[in-house]
Amino acid sequence: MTHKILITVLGLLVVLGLAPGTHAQEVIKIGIVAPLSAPGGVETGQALVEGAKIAAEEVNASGGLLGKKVELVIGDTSGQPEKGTAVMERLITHDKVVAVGGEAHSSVALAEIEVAHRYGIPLVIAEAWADSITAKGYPEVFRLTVSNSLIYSKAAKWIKDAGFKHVAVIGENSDWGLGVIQVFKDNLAGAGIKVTAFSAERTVTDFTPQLMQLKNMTPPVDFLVDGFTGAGELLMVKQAHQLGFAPSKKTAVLGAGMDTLYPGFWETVGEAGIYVLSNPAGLPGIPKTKTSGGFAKAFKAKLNREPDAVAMEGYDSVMVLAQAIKASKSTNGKALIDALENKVNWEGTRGTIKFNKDKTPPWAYHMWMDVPVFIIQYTKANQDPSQAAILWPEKHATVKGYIRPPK
Amino acid sequence: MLFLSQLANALVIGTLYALMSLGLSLIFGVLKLVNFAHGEALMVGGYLFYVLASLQLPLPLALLFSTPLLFLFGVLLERIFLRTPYQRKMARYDEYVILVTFALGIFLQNLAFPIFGPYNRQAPSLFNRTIRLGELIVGGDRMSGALVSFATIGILIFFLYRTSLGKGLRAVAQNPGAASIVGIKVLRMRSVAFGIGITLAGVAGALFGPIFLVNPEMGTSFAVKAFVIVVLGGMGSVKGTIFGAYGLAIVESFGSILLPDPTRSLAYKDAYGLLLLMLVLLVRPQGLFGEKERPA
Amino acid sequence: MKGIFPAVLLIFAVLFPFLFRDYWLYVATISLYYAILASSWSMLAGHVGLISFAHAAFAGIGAYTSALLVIHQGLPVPVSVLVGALVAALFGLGIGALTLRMRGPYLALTTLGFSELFRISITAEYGLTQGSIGLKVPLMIEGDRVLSYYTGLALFVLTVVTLTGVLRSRVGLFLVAMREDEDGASTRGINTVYYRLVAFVLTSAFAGLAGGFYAHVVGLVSPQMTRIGEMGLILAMSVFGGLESLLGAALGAIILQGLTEYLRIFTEWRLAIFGALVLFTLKLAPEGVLPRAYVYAERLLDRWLGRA
Repeated sequence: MTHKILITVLGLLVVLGLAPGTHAQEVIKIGIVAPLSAPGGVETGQALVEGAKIAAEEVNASGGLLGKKVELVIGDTSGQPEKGTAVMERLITHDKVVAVGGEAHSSVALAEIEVAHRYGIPLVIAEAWADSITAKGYPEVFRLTVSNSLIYSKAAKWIKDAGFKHVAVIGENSDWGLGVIQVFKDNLAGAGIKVTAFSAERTVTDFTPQLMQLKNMTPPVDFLVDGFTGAGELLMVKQAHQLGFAPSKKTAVLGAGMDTLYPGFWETVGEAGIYVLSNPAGLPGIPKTKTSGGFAKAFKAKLNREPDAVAMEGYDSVMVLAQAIKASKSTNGKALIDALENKVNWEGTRGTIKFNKDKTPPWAYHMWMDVPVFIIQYTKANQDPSQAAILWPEKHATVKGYIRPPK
Repeated sequence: MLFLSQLANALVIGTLYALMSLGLSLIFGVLKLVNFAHGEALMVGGYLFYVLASLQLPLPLALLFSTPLLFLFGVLLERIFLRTPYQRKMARYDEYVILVTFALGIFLQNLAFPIFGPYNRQAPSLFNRTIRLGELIVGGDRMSGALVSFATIGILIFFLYRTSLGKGLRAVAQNPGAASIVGIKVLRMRSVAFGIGITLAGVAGALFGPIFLVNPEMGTSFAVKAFVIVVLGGMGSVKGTIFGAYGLAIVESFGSILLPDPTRSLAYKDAYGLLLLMLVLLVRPQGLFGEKERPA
Repeated sequence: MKGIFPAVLLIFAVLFPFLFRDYWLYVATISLYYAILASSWSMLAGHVGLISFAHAAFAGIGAYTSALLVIHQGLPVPVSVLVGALVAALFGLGIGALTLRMRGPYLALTTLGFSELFRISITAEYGLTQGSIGLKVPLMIEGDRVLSYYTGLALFVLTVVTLTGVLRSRVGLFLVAMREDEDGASTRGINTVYYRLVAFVLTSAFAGLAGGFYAHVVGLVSPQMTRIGEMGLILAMSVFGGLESLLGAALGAIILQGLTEYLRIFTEWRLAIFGALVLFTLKLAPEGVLPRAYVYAERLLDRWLGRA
C-alpha cells in the first residue's frame, strides 16, 4: 500500500515541477489575433500578422515604448469564435498582454469583444466588418477598418448608379456574410433593383447547382456578390466563370471578401479573375502618407509584393496602440482606452486615424470614419490589387466606369 | 435545359464519388472492416498528386506514379496496424479496427497541417477548358476527372472479374475459410485489398484536388459521403456502390434546388445523404444490393 | 487499498485552485469537461463494448438545450444544465433504441451519421442557434473561476462515482457479459434490451451534463464542439488513459488537455503527436498507456522496496 502512495506523490511532484512559472515583465506585450489555419482565411490572417510584425520591429528600432521593448504575442483563431474566446483568455490571463489588435473574421471578433470587455483590455479591430462589433458600444473596442454599413452602402450606391438591375448575393453564414446580405437588401430594394440572396456554410465548396439556377433566372442576374471568404470565395468565382455566368458580358461579379487580394486568388481562379471587382479598405499609397511609403518598402522587402489593405490594417493597429501607450505613459487598460479615444491622431498608412466618439449611428462608435474605400477591377491576369483599375471613388478613379468583359 | 445541366453535373460528380467509394466497399468486402481513415487516404492522394505535379512532372505521369505509391502506402498500413491483431484472433477485433482506423485518420490529417500548411492548394487539372455541348456546360476539370474515374472503375471491374488475383479477392470476401482451403493466401489478399482500396481513394483525391482545392481537411466531408454511398448500395457490392454514388450525387444536386428556402436547402445539402444513411442502416442495413450479414 | 490513489488525486484536485490561478485554473476547468466525456465514453466503449461516435453530439445537445433555456426561458443555470442532461439522456434513449441490433461498424456509422446530422441542423438553423457564429451564453456564478472549477470537480466526482457504482453492481456484470457475447447473455435471461438502453441513457446523460457545464463556463456554444475532431479527441483521451478504466480515461483527458497547453510551442505538430500517441497505444498497449505505466511503476517500486 505504501508504494501506491509513493507513486501518487511522485506523480504529483512531477506535475508540480512542470508547472510553468511566470517571468518578470521586461517587455510590453501586445496580442495579435488572426486566422492562421483553416477554416479561417489564412492568407488574410498572415497579411495582418506580417503588417503587425513590421510595426513592432519599427517601434523597437526607435527605442521601444516607455523604455521597454514591444513583444507581439500571436494567437491563431482559425476563424472560429470559440477559439477566439480561448485565445483572448490566454493572451490576457496567461501572456498578460496590455492590449490586443487584429482579427479578420466578424464572428470571431464578436466573441473576442466579450472577453476584452470583461477584462477591460483595449481591442483594436483591424479587418472585421460586421456592424455589431462596434454597435454594441463596448468602450474597449475600436475599429480602424470599415463596417458593413459603411462600405456596402457605398458599393450599393455605385451598383445603382452603374445601372445594374438584378443583384444576386451568396453570403456565408457568418456575421459578416449575413451583414453583407442585409446591407445590400436594405440599400437596393428601395431603389427598384431586384435582390436575390441566400447564404451557405463557409465550408461549402461546390456552388455549381446554385450558380446554374441563378444563371437561368428571369429577369437575368447582372451582378453577383460573392459574399464568402477563404476557399469558398475563390471557388465561387471559378465555378461561376466555368458556367459562363460571371464575370461575363452579361454579369459582373464582386468578390466582397478580402481573399481576392492575394496571389492565392489567381492560383485558383486563373483567367476567371480578370474583370472581377473587389472592395479593399485601402490601397498602398492612396493617399500617400508619412508612413505609407516606408511601410510599403518594408513589406515588399519581406514578402516580395505590394502591401494590401489588410497588411496595412495590421500595421496601423499596432502603431495606434503604440501611440496610445506613449501618450498615456501607461499600460493600464483604462488609460489606454482614454488615450485611444482622445489622444490618438496618428498618420497611418491609409490616412490619419482618429476614433469617433459619437454613437449615431450605433456602429460609428469608436470607428475611424474616414477610412478609405475603393472599388477596383482587375484588368489582367495575376494582377496585384495596387495595379488594378480603380472605379470608385471618382477622385481616385483611373477609368471611366465598369469595364464590361467582351464575352 | 436547367434540369439537364444539373443532371449532367450530378453524373459527373457521381462518377468521382463512385471511385472514392469503391475503395471503401472493397476494403469492407474483403477485410470486413469499415476504414474510418478513408477520407484521409483521399487527402494523401490529393497531396501526392499536387506534389508530383509541382515537381513539373507531366500530369498523366504524376497520376500514374501516384498509383503504386498509394498502393504501397495502403499495404504498409495494413501490415502495421491490421494484420497482427487479425492473425492472433484478438478479442474484440471489430472494435479495435474502428479505433485504429479512426485514430489513423486523425493522425494523417493532423500530420498534413504542419507539413503542408493550412493553405488551400490549387493542383493543376488534366484538362481545364470548359466543355460546352450546346446549352450544356461542364467544367473541364470535372469532366476530365470523371473520365479518368470511369476508366479506373472499368479497370477495377475487369481486374476483379477477369484476373485470378481479383477472383482471389472476391473469394476471400465471400468465405475466407473456404478460400484458404483452396489455396488462396488470405492474409496476402487482405493486404492487397486494403492497398487497392487506399489507392482508389487516393486517385479520387488526386482528381478532386484540382476541382475543390487540396487542403488537410478535404477528406472529411467526402469520407462521410463515401460511408453513405457504401451503406446505401450495400457494403462489398460493386454494383451497389456505383448505384449509390450516382444516387447520392443526384439527391444532392436536386435536393438543394427543390427545397423552397434556398438558404436552408444549401445548408442541409450534406444532410440528405446522412438521413439516407441512417434510414438505410435502420431499415435495411445490408443496403440495396448487399447480402445480409450472417452471424458467426 | 485501491482507494488511496483516487483519494490522493481528489485531495490534490481540491487544493488545485490554491496552487494555480487564472489561466491554468481555466485550463483545468475545461479539462474536467473532457474528463467527464472521456470517462463516460470509455464506459460505453470499453466496459459495454459499444463504440459510439455520438458522444460529442450528446454534449452538444446538453450545451444547446441549457443555453437556449437560459436565454429564452430565463431559467437559472443549474436547472437548465440539468434539463440539458435530461434531454441528452432522452436522445441517448432514442439512439439506443434505434441501434438495438447493431454492433461494431454499423453502430459506429449510425452514431456518426446522427452526430453529423445534429451538427448540420444546429448550423443550419441559425435563426435559433446562431449557427457557426456561436450562441452567447451567460456564465455560471458570474464567471467566478474558482467556483466554476469546484462545480466542475463536483460534477466529475459525481460522474465517476455513479458510473463506477453501476459497473460494480449486477448491472455492470450484465453489461460486461453482453459485451462478450450478447446472444449468449440473453439466453441466460439477461434483458439485453433494457441494459443496453441503460448504458446509452446513463452515458449520454453525463455527456449532456458535461456539455451544459461547458457552455456556461466558456460563454459561447458553437457547433464546433460536435465535430468529428472533438469525438476524435475524446477517443484519443480514452484510449490513452485506458478504455476499461474510468479514472484512467479521465486522467488521460486531463493529461492530454494539459499537454495541449504545455505543448503550445509545437502548436502545429501538437495534434499529430496526439494521433501518433493513440496509434502507439493501440498497437503496443491497447489497454491504455496509463494503466500500463501504473503497472510498471508498481513493479519498479516493488523491486526497490524489496517486495513489500
